[in-house]
Formats: sequence, structure tokens, C-alpha cells
Amino acid sequence: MVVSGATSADIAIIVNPANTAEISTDDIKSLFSGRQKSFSNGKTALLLSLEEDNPTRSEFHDAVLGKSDAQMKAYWSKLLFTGKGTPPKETSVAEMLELIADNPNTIGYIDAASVNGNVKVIATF
Amino acid sequence: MRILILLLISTVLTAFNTQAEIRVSGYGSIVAGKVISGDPDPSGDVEFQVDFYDYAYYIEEWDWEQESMVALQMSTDISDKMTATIQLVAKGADEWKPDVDWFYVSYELTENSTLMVGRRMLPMYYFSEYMEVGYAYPWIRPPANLYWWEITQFNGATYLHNFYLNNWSVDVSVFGGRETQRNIKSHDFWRNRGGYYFPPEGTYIAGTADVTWSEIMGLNVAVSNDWLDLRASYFKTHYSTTANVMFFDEIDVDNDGIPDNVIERRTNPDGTPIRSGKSSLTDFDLSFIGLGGSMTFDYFTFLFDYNYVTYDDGYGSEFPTYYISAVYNHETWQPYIGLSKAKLELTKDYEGFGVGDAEEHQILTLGLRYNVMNNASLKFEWNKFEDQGDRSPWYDFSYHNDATLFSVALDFIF
Repeated sequence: MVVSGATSADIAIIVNPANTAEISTDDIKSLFSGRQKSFSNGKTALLLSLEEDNPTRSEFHDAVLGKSDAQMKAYWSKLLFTGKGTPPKETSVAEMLELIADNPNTIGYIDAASVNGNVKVIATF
Repeated sequence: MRILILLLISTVLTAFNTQAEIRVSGYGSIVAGKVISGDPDPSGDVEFQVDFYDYAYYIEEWDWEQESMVALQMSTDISDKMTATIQLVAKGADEWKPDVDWFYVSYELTENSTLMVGRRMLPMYYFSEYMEVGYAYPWIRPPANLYWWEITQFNGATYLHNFYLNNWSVDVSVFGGRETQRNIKSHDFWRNRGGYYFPPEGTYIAGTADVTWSEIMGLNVAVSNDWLDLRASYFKTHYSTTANVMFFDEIDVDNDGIPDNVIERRTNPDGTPIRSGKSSLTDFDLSFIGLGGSMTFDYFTFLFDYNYVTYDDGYGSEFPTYYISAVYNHETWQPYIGLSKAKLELTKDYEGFGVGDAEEHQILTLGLRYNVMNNASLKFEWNKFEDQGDRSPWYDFSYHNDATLFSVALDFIF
């Protein structure tokens, strides 16, 4: 986890403010690679991802998961077509903020500059 | 019949809940290939086999229907704990007739355990469960000299338990079931190329085989963290193959379609020739053990798969096989290299037949994957097949001709 001054490039991992589960960096990596399915409080996590044309998506894959977009897409296609997982739901920034504000079991990421008061930032990269 | 199956499936998918949302996704590949050099086999062509089960191979002319395929996956939630999933696959090698590759219902027993009942891919090699999803792996195809079994799916049940421990995700699954494939052409194909014996050049023998894997029982254990993924697999099954016309050659000398000479190749225990009828070709237990995995580093991914198949037959047949591959991960370009090696060792002296290596071959692969779009990749691949077995009839159960293949693929998901 890096706290840098260049806020515009920072990625904020966000959850619903009511989500009190302990979520470590390793948990974030495992959740977004489909290896872990629930939060520490036992609730099944609903993963949200930005749409493909959003540059924050590539930055998230690179900075948090250490993979390229193509590698992640290939990886999720393996899980999807073997019945072992469902890729994150793709949303716009506005939809993501809305869905996370509404549902305590969601987790997503956005450009740190887009964070509002209805979501809770658990980590920045 | 296929239409009936489709109707039945769509009824099942919608019967439980008329409001059910059906999630549709899919994958496909358009593959063209051409043999660029090699030795002719007894058929007279220089062939390169790419799919034994569907009898797909390339010759010295461009062909795009051998491996091109498209698959549609539909899934729906029957209840909050139960999901039904179906995959329909249509392949060029199978005249584009849609087959049901997967059709299963999964039920979430607890938060960590799931029961899946129905038709699924048999979790054999490391890539078996998604060997047809070209987009999901670097190469155009998994190595054809390893992924050669007639049976790739099974009907049965899988119990899956997964848990998470110190950043490791652990999946344990046990499975059981059976599968039959009828009218398999590959047996016919191999008989005519010296697979079982050596007919005179140009001889064509008609006949196909039915293969059943019954009493399949197995265990898979997979562990992974953010850079390492390992999977151990074990199963056993009873392997029975029957063929309508197996043990004689019809030789049509003047090419008028009427056999001029019939040679018996095998005899019953009492010495009488086996000419036709349902004859058992394999009737023994098969066991499979494998360890495969992938290691992902900043720029490189290493993949390996080591497997050992044992037949409980008179020859004590054992098949040690392995595959290793390395991929360089640039953002859009992924060059790769791979080597697969397969062997058949006879460990018991059956009626003086002898012991030793009865088959050995390898495929060297070089290729480049270009991620041309978000959901599509273009691949260029070069494969060199080398038969390394002794070619004398008693010590080479399956002579395969050497050949070099060049192929191009567009793999996509939707």
C-alpha cells in the first residue's frame, strides 16, 4: 500500500460504510482474483469493476493484482467457463458509487479523486 | 434427438422460475493451419494430429475447419443456492453439430462446499477443464500428444470444498461418474496408420469404436496464492473399448470398392479368426495421477504438467507424460515456448512380447499471442512433432509421422 501525493493517479478500494470486516491487502488481491469469496465477517463479497475503457481499471490490475488487462481477462474466462467463479460486475464510476452506497456486501475501486461520503475507503494504491 | 435435448434443457432452465435471468456468455476460436514439412504416413499424406478425440488433423494444405469452434454458455439461478449451467459446443471437425459439453446443476451446501451434478469436463490434465477455451491459455491448443483421450467429459457428481488459509486458497474436490462415446473415428484413423498393426500401404479398413469409462472415482487438490497455482489430480476408471470390425484388413487391390483379400490379424483363444462383431479391444482399469501448476512472475509465467497413466492390462502399460511452457507477458504481446513429451512403457512381458518403450514422441512449440482486442487474441504458432520411438513393429504400438505445423488462431470470448 502506497500513500502518494499524486492523488489523481491513486486508486481507492471502497466498500459500504457499514462493512466492518477486516480487509487486508492480501484479502483485496484474493477477492479480486476469485480465490476468496467472502469477507472476514462471512458475507459473500459482490465484486465491482470499472468498465474496460476506464484507465483506472488497467491501473488497478497492474498496481494491485500485478497483471495486465489481458491476463486478468483470460484468467476470469477460465473461472467463468469452468463454473468456478463469476467475473466482477462492470460498472461506471457513478454506478459503482451508487451500488456500494446501497449494498453492504459490495467492494470496488475508483480513482481516489472520485470518492464521496457514501462509501468507505479501506486502502489506496 | 439433439433438438429434443435442447428443448428439454431450455424447459429445465426456465421451468423453475419464469422470472429467471439467464446469463449468456461464450467463447470460440477460428483456427487455420497447414503442415509445412514432414514425412508421409501410410495414408500418403504428411499429417499433424491436433485433436485425437474429434479426429482433427492438418495436411499440407490450408484448412480452417479442423479446430474452429464456438461455444455458448447459459446459466441461471434456480434458487439462491442452486444454479443450472449448460455449454453447447459446435466444432468444425464435427460438422458444426452442437454438442452438450457441460450441463450441470450446482447446489451450495454450505458457504464453503458445493455439490455439482450433471455433465462436466473430467478434471484430468491441468488444462482439461478449459482445454477448449483458447482465450484462457497462451497457446492455440494444449499439447495434442498429451490431451489425446477419447473421453473428456463425464456424467456424475462432484463435491467441492474450498477454504482460505494464510493467503492460500485451497480447493478439494471428489468426483465420480461414467461416460460413453460412440462411433469414435480416431480408432479407425489409427488402425489405418499403423496404430494397431501395419496394413499394406493404401489399405483402408472401415470401422469405429465405442469407448466407456465406468466407475470413475477421483480426487483433485488445488492450492493457490497470488503467484503460485498447484493442482494434484488422481482418478481411476474402468476402460472398455469395443469395435464392430477390428481385426481384419480388407485389401482392395484394383480399387473397385470390393475387397479382394482379407487378412485376419487376430484370433480368438481357440485359434479361430476374429472377423467381425463386437470385440473387446480394451477391458481393464486405468489410473491417472498428475501434478500441474503455474508460476506467475513480473514478466514471465511458467507452466508445467506431469502425469502418469497406468493400465492394469497384460502389458503393464504405463504412460509418463509431461509438458513445460514459458510465457513472456508484455501488455499486448505474449511470446511463448513449450515442450510436451509422451511415452508408452511396457512393464510386463505378455506372452513373450517383451518389455520396454513402445511409443515415444514430443512436440516443440513456439508462438506469439497478440491481444488484439479486450476480448480477442490473435495467435501464431509453430509446432514440431517428432516421433522418437523405435519403428520396428513389435516396439512401436503407434508410429506417428514427424511433421511441422504452422497455425494461426483468433480466440475470443463474449
